[in-house]
Amino acid sequence: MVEIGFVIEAVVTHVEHYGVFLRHDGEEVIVLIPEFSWRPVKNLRDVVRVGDRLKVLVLRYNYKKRQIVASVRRLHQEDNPYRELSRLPPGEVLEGTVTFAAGEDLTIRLPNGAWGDLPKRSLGREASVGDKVNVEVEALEVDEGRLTLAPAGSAVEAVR
Amino acid sequence: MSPQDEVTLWRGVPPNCRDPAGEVVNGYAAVDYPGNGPYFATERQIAHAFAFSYGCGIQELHIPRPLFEALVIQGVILADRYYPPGQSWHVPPGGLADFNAAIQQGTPNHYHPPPP
Repeated sequence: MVEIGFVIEAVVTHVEHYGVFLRHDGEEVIVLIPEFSWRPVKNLRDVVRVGDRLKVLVLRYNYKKRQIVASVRRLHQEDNPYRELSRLPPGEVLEGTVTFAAGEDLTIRLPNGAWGDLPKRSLGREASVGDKVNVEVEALEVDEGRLTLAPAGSAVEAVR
Repeated sequence: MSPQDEVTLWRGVPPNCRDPAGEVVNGYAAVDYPGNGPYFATERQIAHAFAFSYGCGIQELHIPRPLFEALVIQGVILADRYYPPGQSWHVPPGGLADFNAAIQQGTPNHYHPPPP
């Protein structure tokens, strides 16, 4: 069994719409579609073929199915749009577009391809899919690609 | 029913889904989901990550919490072990009838189409 956090090389055995299956030292490896690339990949069969050798980062182990759950995109930090956001000064205003308005959060897409959640109640007004909103970063997990946003001008507390 | 009494399930609609708006109303047909059945996330960002890849929108389902917990105990709703515990689930075809009945018991379900 390989250690979580290791980078391994594996061979593609089959491709499904939801992920790529690979083999490494007799063990099955799966890369789910969101972990394949930092950019949306609509059809994995367009970008990977059976027999391809890929380097993957081991994320976790599925003990029930005896599968390695891995990521390709985390080995390509140069393409990570969340890393780009981490270089911005706190309070930097970004213009995003509402892409979903489901549940208690708005999902906001930023021009660099990153997306994050903006709590509806924080905005103080109604917003619909397609609306532009000015936001700033409130919390960011670069490797996970997780982003929480706040309305522009609200995330940074006054410094006394 | 208040949101605290419900579990919300999210699903990034896969490209082979024939009727995502109809499913949230009428339920999921076992014939459409051989194998492990449809997958759902209680962690919304998991479903959104799939939705951004697939570009086919998101389904939002509500089940009363006691009913959801009972279906987990009964093995109708199973943990998806690709993600940490409690975040993602799947419903094998044999349990879809019970699952479909359960999603009729909460606040109305929604299909959110992809942005234009």
